Amino acid sequence: MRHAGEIGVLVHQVPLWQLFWAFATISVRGWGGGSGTIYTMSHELVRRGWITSAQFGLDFGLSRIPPGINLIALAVILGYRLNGLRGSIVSGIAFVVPFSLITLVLTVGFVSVTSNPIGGAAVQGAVAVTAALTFALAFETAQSWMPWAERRVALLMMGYIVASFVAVAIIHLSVVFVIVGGAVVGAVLFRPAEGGKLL
Amino acid sequence: MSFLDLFLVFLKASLLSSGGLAPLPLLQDELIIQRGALTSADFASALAIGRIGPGPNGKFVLSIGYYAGGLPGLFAALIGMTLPPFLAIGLVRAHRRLASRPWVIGLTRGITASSVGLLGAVGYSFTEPLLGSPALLAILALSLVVLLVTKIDPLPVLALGGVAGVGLYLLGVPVL
Repeated sequence: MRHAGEIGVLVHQVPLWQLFWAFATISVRGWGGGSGTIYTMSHELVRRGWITSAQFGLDFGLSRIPPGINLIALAVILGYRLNGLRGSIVSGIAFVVPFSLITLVLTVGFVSVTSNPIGGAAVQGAVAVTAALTFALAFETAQSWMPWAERRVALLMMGYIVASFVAVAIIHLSVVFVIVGGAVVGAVLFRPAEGGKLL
Repeated sequence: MSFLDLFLVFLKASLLSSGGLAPLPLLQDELIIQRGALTSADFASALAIGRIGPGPNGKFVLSIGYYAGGLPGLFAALIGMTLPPFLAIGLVRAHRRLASRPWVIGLTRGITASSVGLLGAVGYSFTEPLLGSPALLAILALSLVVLLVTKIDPLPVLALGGVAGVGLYLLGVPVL
């Protein structure tokens, strides 16, 4: 059953053990900081045929609103989409526990990688790929969800994408301000035309 | 510091911040300046660990918890860090209830548009320090093309990026 507000949830009532396994896998494989993990999460859930990139984009936006670590909120939201309250709890815990255990091991046996020049060079190479992962995710999200048939709305939305990029990257405005601003601008300007495509 | 004190510090930092390194100034103030629970050097080490392992950048609070209070400190940080994001359940429920209305469809589009811009901004923040190194920018461009064209799993691309960084260093090419 498709719930209101879902723009690309392809499977509902995903078995809890499958959710647990998927988010635990994402937690272990999500190297490259937050961006690497975001990309891994999107890649894994879309690959499994559970959600579309567009749904991921929407939930990524929603996950930036509550306080705390956004990626945990994102796991909670996606778990809710895929199996309600139980799904959100299972996904949240399955996501948090593995990377926390790995961080524990790294902390206890910490040897500074970045203080070693070869380790530092490896980190710099990985950072370049991390930047690419983030740009790729932005591109895939925009491509999959833009309402191209509504040309005026699509143009306005592209304008807001550029504006929010400039606001955060250059002017360093608050992320929450940009998202809430997007919600307000969208409610007024990005409505579907009469008889147009509903998200 | 007791388990409860540490838990409350981490819960407060999580509740008053949103994502990534945002709780950093608050934790720094509470744990180093006000309570003297750990040193600046420990704090820096904890941050460095946050760049190594898998998971979100915000996991550095776990290392800070460990430095501040051993294993119980890490668990205090774990619980304090995990609880606030569950407020997202209320948010997604509210969104679902209202979502068929045109203005909410517009609002949804607006949130997603800002997400795309924010992702671009995060990518830019990683790119800015690399601007002095053409070799690293080449790694970025090449991996972007590979990711967009092949939709390959990101882990091997990240590993290859790390190997390429080491290769460039060994060849004497500056990698910052």
